Amino acid sequence: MVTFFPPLLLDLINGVMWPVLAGVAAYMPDFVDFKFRKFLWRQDIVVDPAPRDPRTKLSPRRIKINKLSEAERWRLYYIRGYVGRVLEEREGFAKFTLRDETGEILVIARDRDYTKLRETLGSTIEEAARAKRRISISGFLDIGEDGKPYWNVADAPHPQLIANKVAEAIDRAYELGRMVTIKIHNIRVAGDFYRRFLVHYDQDNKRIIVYMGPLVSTGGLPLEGTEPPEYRKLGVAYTKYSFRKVYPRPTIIDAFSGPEIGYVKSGEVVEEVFIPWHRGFSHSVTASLIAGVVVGLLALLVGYTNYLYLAVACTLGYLAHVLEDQLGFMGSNLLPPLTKKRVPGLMLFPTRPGLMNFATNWLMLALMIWNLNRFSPQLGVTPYKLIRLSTVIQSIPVHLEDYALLGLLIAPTLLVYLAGVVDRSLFIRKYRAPGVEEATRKETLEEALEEVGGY
Amino acid sequence: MIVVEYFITVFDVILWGLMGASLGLALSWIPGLHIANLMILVLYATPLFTGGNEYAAPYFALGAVVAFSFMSSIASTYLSVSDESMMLMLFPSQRYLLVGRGHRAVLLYCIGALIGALFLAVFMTTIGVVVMPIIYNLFSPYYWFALLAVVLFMFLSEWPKESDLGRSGLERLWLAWRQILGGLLVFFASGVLGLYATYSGLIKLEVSFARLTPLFIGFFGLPWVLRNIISRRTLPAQDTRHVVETAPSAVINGATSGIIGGGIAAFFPVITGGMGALIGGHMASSRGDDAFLISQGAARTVYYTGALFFLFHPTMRITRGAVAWLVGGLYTPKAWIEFYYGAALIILVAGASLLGTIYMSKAVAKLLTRVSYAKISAVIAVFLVALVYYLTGFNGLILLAAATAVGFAAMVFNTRLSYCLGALILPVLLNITGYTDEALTLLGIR
Repeated sequence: MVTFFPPLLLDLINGVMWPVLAGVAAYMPDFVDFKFRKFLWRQDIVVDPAPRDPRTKLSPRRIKINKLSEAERWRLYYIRGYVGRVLEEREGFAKFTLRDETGEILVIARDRDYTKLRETLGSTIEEAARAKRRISISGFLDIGEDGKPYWNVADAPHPQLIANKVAEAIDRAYELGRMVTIKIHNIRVAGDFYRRFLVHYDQDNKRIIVYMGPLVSTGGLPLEGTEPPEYRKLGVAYTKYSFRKVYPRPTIIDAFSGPEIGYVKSGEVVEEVFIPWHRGFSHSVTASLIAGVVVGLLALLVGYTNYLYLAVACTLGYLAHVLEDQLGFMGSNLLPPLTKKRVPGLMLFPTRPGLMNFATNWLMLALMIWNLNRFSPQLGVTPYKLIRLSTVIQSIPVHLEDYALLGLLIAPTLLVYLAGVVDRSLFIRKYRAPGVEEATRKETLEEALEEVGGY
Repeated sequence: MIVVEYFITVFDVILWGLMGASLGLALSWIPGLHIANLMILVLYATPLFTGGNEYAAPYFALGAVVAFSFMSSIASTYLSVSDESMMLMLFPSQRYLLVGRGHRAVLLYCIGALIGALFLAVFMTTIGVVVMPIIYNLFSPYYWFALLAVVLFMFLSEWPKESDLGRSGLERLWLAWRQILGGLLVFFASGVLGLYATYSGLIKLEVSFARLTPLFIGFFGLPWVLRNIISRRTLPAQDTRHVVETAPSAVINGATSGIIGGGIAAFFPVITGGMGALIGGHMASSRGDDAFLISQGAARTVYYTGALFFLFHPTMRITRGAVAWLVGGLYTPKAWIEFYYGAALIILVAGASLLGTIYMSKAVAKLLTRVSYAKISAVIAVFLVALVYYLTGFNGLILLAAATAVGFAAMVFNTRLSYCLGALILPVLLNITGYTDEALTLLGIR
């Protein structure tokens, strides 16, 4: 936005660095959210389905048998010890005891988990027992039909843990009447792979369904043969109260970091607020005005002559960020304190959000070129305007050539925006048309399940 | 009428270009060995380039740089593997290697590099002929502003990787900011080393052209090699089939972001490929491992080759990058035909480098699963140290040791390794803003 103001451009030419603050202001909304609010946000319920080893920062972490309790049920750990009695072993199933220095526990391996365990051990369980080898077995604590705890051999936590905690968060939000935030940690394993899982909100049946998926890379590429077996793929929990998810797609959790999800009572239902610390006050018109005033005052205090231009450039830079964010789905709280809630954005180009980003970047670049071209002679950078459309297209009047150039430069952006509007209406027709809501949700779920892998 | 006489022949271009490409292909797989270091050795140690055919140096360098753009993927894929417990995020090439797909990573990189080379040659000789001089004239008064903006963007956009593990808000905030502050520390430590290398006289005047060599080998080469030795990692068997499957969208997205990033880095002084790729990735919303690897190939090729190729433009008079500065002392373009020959050479060498890199990758993949990875790394470490000593003497080794410590610090803090470019950026920023004297006094250099 600095390029709109010739005095600021002149300062840049002369090596005065103050105008750089306008660029900083344009990034400030995300900086505030992602460098401060994210960390300081209150987390009411924390779900760590697969705690990491404090040294390697990878899952699973070792747990001693005497530390296993109801609170640890369904979390992925590994135990290290010696095979005791082998109670049963056949193709696709094994039941045996494992003891470490703190106690003994029954272990059950079934389906592919049995096969993988044998691959890891390089022998049968019987042979491992006879060899008196110390072995590590990953899995989770579960309770059998007889009410007795056992160690279920697995390479992923059971999704029931996550489903239960999400349902608990929704019910607590209703009962407390305030926002309850749940933090769901992601699962990072060796090789920098992440276990992908999906939280689906079945609002009609007041059910939370969590699907455990395959390992994926940070780029989202699934690793073949890492899907959990059917018996531990699904976790379902019921809520006492109704809830609503605004965006039709389920929440997918894999690489980078697990999300914080807020739940807040709105009338008689609980609404989901995805990453509630984001796009609040920091992403508002109000904040953009404050940013301009603060920077302007600061510049005035240190005696910077063009403080007023700088204040306006900062406000415009900040505002450009806020407005650009309205092109997507999440939107923001635009006018606090007058408005209290995040309002959804325009959701342009929902199928290709990256293209909107690119088009907006081009718009900024186009504005820079346009401004630099028209101001260059005035600033003494060039003796004349370098781009003069009237010399190429004779029919363009000289006094209108700047505007013609602007139109030409921003035309690609406008075309993409227009395509974004068309894409949006097609998307809404597909996902939101009355009467097809149920079918839509199913379709959306199917689509997301495909993403989670292998369903 | 002034007639400009020139004596360039297609034979010259092909001969010198392919000789340069051969050198680039033969040596660019060594980690930390930047093509500029090689050029220093070759151009100034060989009388052929300084006293003979004036077209030898530029086309030799162009061939070498294109080959380097491709072949350096071998080092970044196979010779910078890390233990994932030491880093909170691996590069996609490292991850691919650890699951036996290192060759696939190289193939993806090469796809990007080839697209980058073709784009560069075609764009620069068509639209670029008209557009680039205008862009150059419009933006040149604001170069330092662009540089400062990119540096600030790097810090502002740093993604804290460890913060999730904190139990309280303050602990999470500390873990996040520990990484960001670590990045700042690395940037300023590198900057201080850059000031010492440039102004202190530690490096003798006669080899001042190589003053940054110990730093760059220390920042980007030696820490990886030493880590390979320490971690004693073994590699799984690699799939070396010449087959790669990827989505067309990944190719388009990766190539676009790479070309944007590489273009920014080639055009703006001091901004490097890594910094350009960061911006390109944000602009094109680049996502996914395949797109990342393709973008790396495109970005590095457009950056390294594009920066040098500007030198061949007979009217723009832009010198960008260390190799261009070296060659610029020996060559000034006189006619457009030299520029067009350069574009043709880029395509020719890109094709040859593609084949060379693919077969080298296959060979290295097989070798690394048979020969001790730690031993290969030890040999490379000795070579890098010897090279620094040969070029810059004992004082160079002191700088190398300090730079290696800074490179390690970047890994420990889990920050971007590109903060080490503070060695280049900080001295430039101080110079532009007029604070160099104060900084040198503060450091006791002056």
